[in-house]
Amino acid sequence: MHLALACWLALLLSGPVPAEGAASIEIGPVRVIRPNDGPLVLLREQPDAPVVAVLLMVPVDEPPGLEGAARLLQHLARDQLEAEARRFGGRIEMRRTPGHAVYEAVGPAGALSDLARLLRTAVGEPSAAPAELERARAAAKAEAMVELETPEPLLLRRLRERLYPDTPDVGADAASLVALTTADLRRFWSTRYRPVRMRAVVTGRVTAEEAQEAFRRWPEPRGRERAVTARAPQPLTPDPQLIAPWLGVAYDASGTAPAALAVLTVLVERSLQRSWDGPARAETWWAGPRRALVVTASYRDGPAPRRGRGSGARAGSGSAAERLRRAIAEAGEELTAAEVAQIRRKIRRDLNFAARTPQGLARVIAEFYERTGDPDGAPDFLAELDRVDARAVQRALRAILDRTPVTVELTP
Amino acid sequence: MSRWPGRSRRTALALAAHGWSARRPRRVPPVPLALLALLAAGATPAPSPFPTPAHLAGQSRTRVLAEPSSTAVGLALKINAGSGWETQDEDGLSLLAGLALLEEIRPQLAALGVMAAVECDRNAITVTALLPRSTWRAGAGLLLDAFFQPAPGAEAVERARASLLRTLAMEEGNPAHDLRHALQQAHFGRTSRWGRAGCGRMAAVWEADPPAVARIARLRFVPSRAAAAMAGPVDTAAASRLLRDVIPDTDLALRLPSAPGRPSARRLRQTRNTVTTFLAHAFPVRHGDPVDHEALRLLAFLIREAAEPGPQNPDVYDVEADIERHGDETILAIYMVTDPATSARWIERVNDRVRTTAAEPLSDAAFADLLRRYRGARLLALSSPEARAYEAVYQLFFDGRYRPPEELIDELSPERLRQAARALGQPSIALIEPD
Repeated sequence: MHLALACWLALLLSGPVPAEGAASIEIGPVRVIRPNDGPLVLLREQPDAPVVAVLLMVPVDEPPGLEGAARLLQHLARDQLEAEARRFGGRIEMRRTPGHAVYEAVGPAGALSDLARLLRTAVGEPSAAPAELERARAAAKAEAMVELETPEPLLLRRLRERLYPDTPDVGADAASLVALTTADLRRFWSTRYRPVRMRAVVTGRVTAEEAQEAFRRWPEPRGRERAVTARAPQPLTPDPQLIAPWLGVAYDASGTAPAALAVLTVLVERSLQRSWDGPARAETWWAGPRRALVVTASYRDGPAPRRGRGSGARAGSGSAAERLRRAIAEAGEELTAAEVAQIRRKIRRDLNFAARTPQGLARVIAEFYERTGDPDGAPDFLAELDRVDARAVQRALRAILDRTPVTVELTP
Repeated sequence: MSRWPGRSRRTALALAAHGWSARRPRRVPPVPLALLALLAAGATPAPSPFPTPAHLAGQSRTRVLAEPSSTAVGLALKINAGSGWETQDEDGLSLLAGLALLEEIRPQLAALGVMAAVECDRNAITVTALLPRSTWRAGAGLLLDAFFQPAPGAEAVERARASLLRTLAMEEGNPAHDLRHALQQAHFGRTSRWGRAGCGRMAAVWEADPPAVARIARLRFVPSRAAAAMAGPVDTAAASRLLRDVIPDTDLALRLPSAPGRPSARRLRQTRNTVTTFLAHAFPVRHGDPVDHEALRLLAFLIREAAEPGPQNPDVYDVEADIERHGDETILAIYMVTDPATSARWIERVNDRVRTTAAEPLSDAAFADLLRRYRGARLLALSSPEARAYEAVYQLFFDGRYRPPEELIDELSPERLRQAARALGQPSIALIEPD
C-alpha cells in the first residue's frame, strides 16, 4: 500500500495571531454521497458562493518501472482540459501528491455537470498519439527536474527517503519517465483509474441531488492487473541551485496526536525565526499513523547562529546540524499556556482563511481526508486542537527528542 | 501586468546615494482655506471643479452580504481621496496617509488575526481586509475607526513612507508601470493632475512631511467621502449597524472628481532599454452617452480574449483590459506587451475589434458562447469574500447602489455589447518601444 507521506499541513504561515474566543469553524459539515458506479463524493454545500469547485483524488501507487505514470497521465490530459474549461470560464489545476493524482476544476455556479464531465475525461483512457506522449513526457520531466534543482524540495525528498526507506519514490519520478510507453500508461490506467476507487470533494453552490447526478455512471476501465517489466533505473542527477548550505532534520513523531504535533510545529518554527541565523521552516508530515516533524534551514557557512530561545551560548557551538537540533529542543523552554493558545488560534485562523473560497475549502477537506480517511477529518482535527495545552506540547516535544532524527545536508 | 518584470531597486539606491533621507523635512505650501473648504466633506459650492454626477445623489453608502457558509469575512472600504484630488504638492500623499492610518493599528489588527491592505487609484484609496469569523466585529470596528479618527502620528507616517518607497522603487522604471502613466499622459495631457502617476512618485513621497500627511488624512479620510461593504458569515443587523454607525446613509452624493474633457486622441511614444514593445489604448466613453459598465466589461473581456498570448498570437506576451472610472468619465484601457515588429499591427487590430463590435451585434450563438465564458471568469474572480466585498463597495462608490453581479451578467445582450462599443471615442495610444 502506497502511503501518503507528505500531506503537508498548512500550518506554517508565520503571520499574526488572532485573539481569544475563536468560534467553531464552518469547514464542516461534510456530507457523503455514494453515486452508483462513480466516485465517492464528499459534499460541502455553500449556497452563498458564486462558484462551484470539484477536487478529484485518484489513489495511485506506481510499481517499480511505472514511477511517474500518474504525472504523465495528467500532462497528457492537460491541454484538452484547459481548452474545454475555458469554454465556460472554468479553470483546471492538477498536481501529484504522494498518495494521489489530484485534479481540480472550478467554474461558475451551475457548471457542476460540466466540471464533472471534464474530470471524467481527464481520468479517462489516455491518448495514444506519440507526439502527445513526447510533449507530455517533456513537461513532466521538466516539472520533476525543478523538484530536484530547488533546495527545499530536494531536502524534503531526501529526508523522506531516509525516514521512510520502504516507501516508493513519488516526489520526483523523473527516472522512469524517460522509458514509459503508451502501453505502460494504458496498463497502469486500466488497473488504477477505477471510478469506485476515486474520491471527489465538491464545494460551493451545489445541491446533493446535483452532485449525485454528476458523478454517477462513470465508465469503468477494462483491463486486468498485470506485472510490469522492471527496467534498469535511469536516475536523473540532481543539480541543486545552491548559494548557501541547507540542512534538513526529520523527527519521527508516530504516536503523537496530530493537533499537538501541529502546535509544536508552529512553536518550533517561531523559535527558529528568533534564534536561527537564516531562513528556517518547520512542517508536519501526517499520513495515517505516520507522523513527523520536519525542519529545513539554510545557514551561513561558518558563523554561529543568533541567540537561542533558552540558552544562546549553548546554541552557538557545534556543527550546524547539532545547533539546529539544539535549537529545536529549546523551542519548548518556558512555554506558556498563553503561547499555546495563540498558536491554536493561528492554526484555526489560517485554516479558515485557506478555506474561504470553494476551491480552498475543497483542498482543506481533501487534505484532511487523505490524512485520516475520514470526511470530517478537518472538523475533528480542530476539535482536537481546542484540547491541546502546554503539557501536551511538551510531551510531544519530549517524545520526538527521544528518537534519533534523520539529518540531510546540501552544500553548494 | 504584475507578471511584467520590474527594474529592481536601483532608483532607491541612487536617491540614497544623493543624500536623500526619509526623515528630511520639507514644508509643503499651505493649502488655501477656501480650497480646503471646497474639498471638505459634504460641501457643494456651485462652481465646483468636481461636479457631482446627478445619479449618485441620495444613495446608500454601505452594504452587507451575509454569507453564513463562508469561513472568513471580507471588508472593503473606498474613500474618495485618490490622486485625482491631489495638487502638485500633494502627489502621493493620499496613499501615504492611508498607509499611515493602517500602520497605526497594525499591531492590534495582527492580534485579531486581521489581514489588511491599502491600494490607490485616481479616484479613491481602497482598504481591503480579511477577518476571522470569530473577531470580525472587533476587527471591522478597529479598521473603520482608524480610518476616520485622528490623523496618523509621525512614527506611523515614517513606517508607511518606508514601505511605500520600497514599493515605488520597484515600480518606477518598470515599463509596465510606466506604460500606465504614459497612457494617462496621452489621454489627459502631461499637465493635468489626471496625467500624473496614480499613486505618487518617490521624490514627492520622500519629501512629504508628517503634518502634511496628517492634514490630508483629516481632510479627505472622512465618512462622508466613503463607502463600505462586508461579505461573509456575519450577523446582518450587527454588521449593518457597525458600518452605518461610521458611514451613515446620506442624501449627499459622493463627490467624485471629474476628469477634464479631452480635445482629441493623442499618441505618446517613449523609448526604453527593453526588448519588447509595451502598448496601450485608452478608449473613452463619449461624453453624453450613457455608460453601460457591465457591457463595457464584456467588451474588455472580448478584446482580451482576442489578443491573448498563445499559438494564435505568438507575438503577444501579455494583455490586460481594464475599465477605469474617473468620476463620471470612463475609459476602456487595453495594455499589451508585443513583439516590436508587430506592435503597429496590434494597434490597428485592437481598433478594428472595437469598430467591428460597434458595427453589428454578434450572432446569438457567438454571443451565448462569449457570455458563458465571461460569466465564468467574472464569477471566479468573486470566489473570495474580500473580492465580493470589493465588488459591492465598487458599485456603491461609483453607482450609489449594489446589484448582484449575476443579475448584471444575465441582463447583457448582443445589442448592449454593440452599443457599448459604439459609445467609445477615438483612443489615445501610448507606446514604450526599444531604443
